Parts: sequence; C-alpha cells; structure tokens
Amino acid sequence: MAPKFLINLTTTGLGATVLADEVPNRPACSTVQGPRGSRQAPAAWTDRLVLESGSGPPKIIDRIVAVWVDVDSLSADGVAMDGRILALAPGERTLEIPLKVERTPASPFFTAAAWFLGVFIPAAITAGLGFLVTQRNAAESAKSAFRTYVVENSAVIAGFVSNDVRATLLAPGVEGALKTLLAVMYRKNMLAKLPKPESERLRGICFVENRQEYLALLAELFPELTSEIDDIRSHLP
Amino acid sequence: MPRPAQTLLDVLSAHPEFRLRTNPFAPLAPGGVAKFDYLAGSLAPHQHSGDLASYFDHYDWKDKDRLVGVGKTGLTTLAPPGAAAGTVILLSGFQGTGRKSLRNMLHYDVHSRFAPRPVIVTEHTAAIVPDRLNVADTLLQSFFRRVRDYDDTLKNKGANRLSKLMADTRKEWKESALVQSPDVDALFGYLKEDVSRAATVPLIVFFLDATVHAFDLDAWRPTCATLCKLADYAFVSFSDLSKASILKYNLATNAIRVALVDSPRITKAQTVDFLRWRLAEERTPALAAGAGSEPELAPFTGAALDELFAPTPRAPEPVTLPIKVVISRLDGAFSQKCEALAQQLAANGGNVNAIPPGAVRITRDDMKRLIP
Repeated sequence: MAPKFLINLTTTGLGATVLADEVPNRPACSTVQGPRGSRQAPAAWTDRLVLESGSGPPKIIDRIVAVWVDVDSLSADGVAMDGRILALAPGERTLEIPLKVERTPASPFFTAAAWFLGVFIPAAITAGLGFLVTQRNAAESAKSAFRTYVVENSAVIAGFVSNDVRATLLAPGVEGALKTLLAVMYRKNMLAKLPKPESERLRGICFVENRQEYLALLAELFPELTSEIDDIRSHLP
Repeated sequence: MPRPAQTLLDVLSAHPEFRLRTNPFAPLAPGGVAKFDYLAGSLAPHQHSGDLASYFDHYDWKDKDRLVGVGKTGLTTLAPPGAAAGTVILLSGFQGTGRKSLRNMLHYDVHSRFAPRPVIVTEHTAAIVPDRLNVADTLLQSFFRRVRDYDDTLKNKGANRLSKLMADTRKEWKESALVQSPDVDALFGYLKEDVSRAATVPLIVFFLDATVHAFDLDAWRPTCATLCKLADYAFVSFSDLSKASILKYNLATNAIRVALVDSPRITKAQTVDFLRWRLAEERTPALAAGAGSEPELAPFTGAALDELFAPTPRAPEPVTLPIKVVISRLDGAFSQKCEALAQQLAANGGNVNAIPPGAVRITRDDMKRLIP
C-alpha cells in the first residue's frame, strides 16, 4: 500500500485568517461568506489545514480550500493585507502563494451614509440633548425667579387680584377688561417677571378676552390666591 | 361757516316752512342778547344762568337714586351728603360728549340746592399717583386757597378764620405723624372736624380731573377714599366709561357712597329728539300754534339726518356721534342754507313768498357737503 501524501496549509501576513477544507453547503466558487454579521469563523475552520491525498500515485490532491479573512484586520477602506498561503509538504520545497486582501473603498453615497449614521446623528442627538437640558434649566430658572418674585411681592399681587382683577371683571359694562388688566400687569412690572410660556399664553388669552381662561391661568401662577380667584370666578356674569 | 344775520332770520321767519325767529343753535333773546351758543364751548350755568335752558338730557344716569336728570332749574335729584363721609360722583365721557357741561351743571346745582349754606368748591387738576402723601399735599394746597377765599368773602377774622384753624391742624398733624406711614385719612378727618366748628358749616365740594389718563386703581381708590373724609361731594371726571365703572365697583365694595353718570355719544333718535325740542323752542308763535301739518323738523329733512348718521367703513352701524359734532353739523347746514336763501332773496327783491318750499329744506345733499 503506497504511503499517503500530506500537505500542510497555513497563512502568514494575513492576520487571523483561517482555512477550511470541508465547508458545509459550500457554493461552487472559491470564496465563502460567513453568516451576515458573523465575526467568528465556524468550528470547521482552522489556521493550519492538513490535506491528505489518496493512496498511490499520482501525487495530486484535488481539493478546494476556502479562506476566511478576519474582517477586523481590515477596519477601514483601502487597508490591505499582503500575505501568503504557505503549502508545506515533507521533502518538498515550501510553496508560497501570494494573497493580497484589500477592502474595497465604499461608494460616496455609502461614505456619506456612514458619516451621517456614525457622526452626524450621534452629534445631533448630543446637541439636541444638550439643547433640551439647557432649555429645561432655563425654564426651571425662570420659574424659580418667578416664585421668588411672587414671594417677595405678595402684597402687590394680592392687591392686584383682590382690587384690579375683581373690579375689572365684575364691574358692569367694562369693555376690553382683560386688555385693561394686561396693561395694569405691565405697569406693575408683573409681565416682565412671568416665565415666557406663561407670558405668551397670558397675552393670547387677553387678546381674545377669555375671562375663564384668564382666571385659570392666574390660579396656576398664584396658587396661594386660589380661593380669592375662585370667588371672583363664581361672581362672573 | 358764518352764522346767518338776524335780519335775514327775521325775514325768513315769515316763510311758511322756515318759521324760525332765530338760529336754534345760538338763539338770541328778543332784545338781541345771546341766550347761549352751543358752539362757544361747554354750557356753564354756574357762570351764565341762561345756559340752564339749553341742556339736553342725553346722559346715562347709572345710579338714579343718588343723581338723575338735568332740567331748567338744575338737577332733578342729588342725594343729600352723607353724615359720616362724602359721596364720590364719577363723570365719564370723551371730548365733545357734554361731560364738561354736566360738570358745570353740578357746580351750579350744589350752590343753588344748598343755598344759603356756603359752598367751598375746589377744582383740582393733577396727576393722581399712588404716592398718597404727595397727592394729598397738592389737593390740600388747592383746598386751602379756596378756604382763604371763603374766609375773605365772609370777612372772618382771627380765630374765626377757618383757613387758620386748618393750617394749625395740618401743622400739628405733620409734627406728630409717623414719618414712614403718615395717616393721611386722619388728617382729612381732622380738617372735617374743623369745618364742622364753623358757625355756618360750609358744604365742601371737590372737582377732580386727572392730567395723566393712565388709570391706576391703586392711586384713584385711596385718593377718593381720602377725599370722602373731608368732602361732602367729590366729582371725579374720566374719559373712559370702563375705567369709571371699575373705580365705582371698587369704591362700592369698600363701602364708599358712589354714583356714576356717563356722557355718551348720541344716536340718530336722540338727535331727532334734540332737534325737535330746539326747533319748537324757536318757532314763531303764530305759526307754531297752527303748525299742525308741517313737519316738526323743518327746515331739516329726515334724509339730512340719515346722511348725518350714515355708516361708513370706519363707523359701521349703529352710528353714534358726540353731541358737539352733531350740533356743529346741524348748525353748519342751517347756516349754509340761510346763506343760500339770502342770495335768492337778493335776486328776487326780498320776496319771501317767492321762495319755493323745497328751497328752504335742508336736504341730504346739503348735509353731505358738510361731512368730510
């Protein structure tokens, strides 16, 4: 019985590239793709492959060997690995098969999309979050300043509600009552102290002369005066 | 527009449709003396008693139990002054609506109604601001001047001089008042006590006008409340009815006696009433007696009044006008018509009966020419 002929196949200069002899369901081409997204070679792959001939001449090993290139070694476009597949047979000269593996540069669209996804969106999210945080801080700050104003000017505000608001809303035949009250709030410097959203809401309510909405907003702004405001509301014509 | 000469009116008074012995808006008494002239300014019966006859009551009396009605002798009703505190009477109305004439009527009425009781009237025009001490100071400056006039008129001497008594009271109050929060109401109360010590207690009346028309309840309420401690009546003038209503409500809820009269713009129906009354007052006697079939408003036509109150893009229906504007236009149309009639009389040799009835009528076109 003639001895079997052996060839050892290994790689050099190709990173964690592995080889396989038997690839299940392999296609009829010389390359095989791993599962989408797969980062690890299947178990049948190895960095040193031994091929064995049948017994007797001729010394021909008719096999297809698949090469699995480690994608992590080619992290960017244009990066290339210039290595070799080495075939070692006992008593024979080492055969070197040059193999250059290069990652194909992406298309401009792909580059733009990758930049958009990888750079712009994270930056936008960061900026958006920063903006929201700033806004929230500003709103909190304005509300805090307004609460301080309310506490420090309680007599002015109570007088405004029990005199100006009561008389203006309950006196018969007053035209443009809310516009009048808006002018009073302006002269008393109350408008300037309101947080911006409430200030804009107040102007809108006064413009359309909605007395119920006006009193509801006052109760929100000055919860300490809710009973006084409710009393005014109960006397509205 | 020049007013028609009385000689022309004397001639025209014989015309069957004209029938007016004088200009109904600036009538002359038989002796040729002007009774009043609407276009000369506000009616002022406290200065010219003849003006009493020319009031037209278009006022809106909001508190008729306290104040109502203008007639030929004064107000129909003015509630007597309160025992403990005075009454605030708010007068509202924009320029040309007759508010100043009403104010003058009140001035006249308090004198005539309470005669022979002396009246000290203080007319004060100032900025009413929340600084109570400042406002009180300026009010008292005006008031003390009138009290001195009162003393001089009555020839009060020495301790009988009310102005001296009040000046001492004020000085004493200033010396004892708290620097931070002087009680202005107390001072006005002390001054009222001084007034009550007079042999004949005078009626104290204030007329208050603001130079700054930005309405501030925090300024007006305490000012009125303080004034009531001293005054029997405080008449306060406003342009805007809404602001007067707000102040009235606020004063009433603070237990202050208050009344409100508005001087509104007038409607066409009120104008017809006014014109009917003025024309009837100046009709020639013989023709007025047999006037029967003649239109009450002649020489004015209904179409002329329609034109006066015609709606415009800037003044949609219902159109209302200040009474001063209405009278000015009626007077302008009347004077223009008289001028045209004078030319016709000059052309026909002064034959009044030759003027056709249509020529004396004040028509829509006559009025249109006057309205810009």
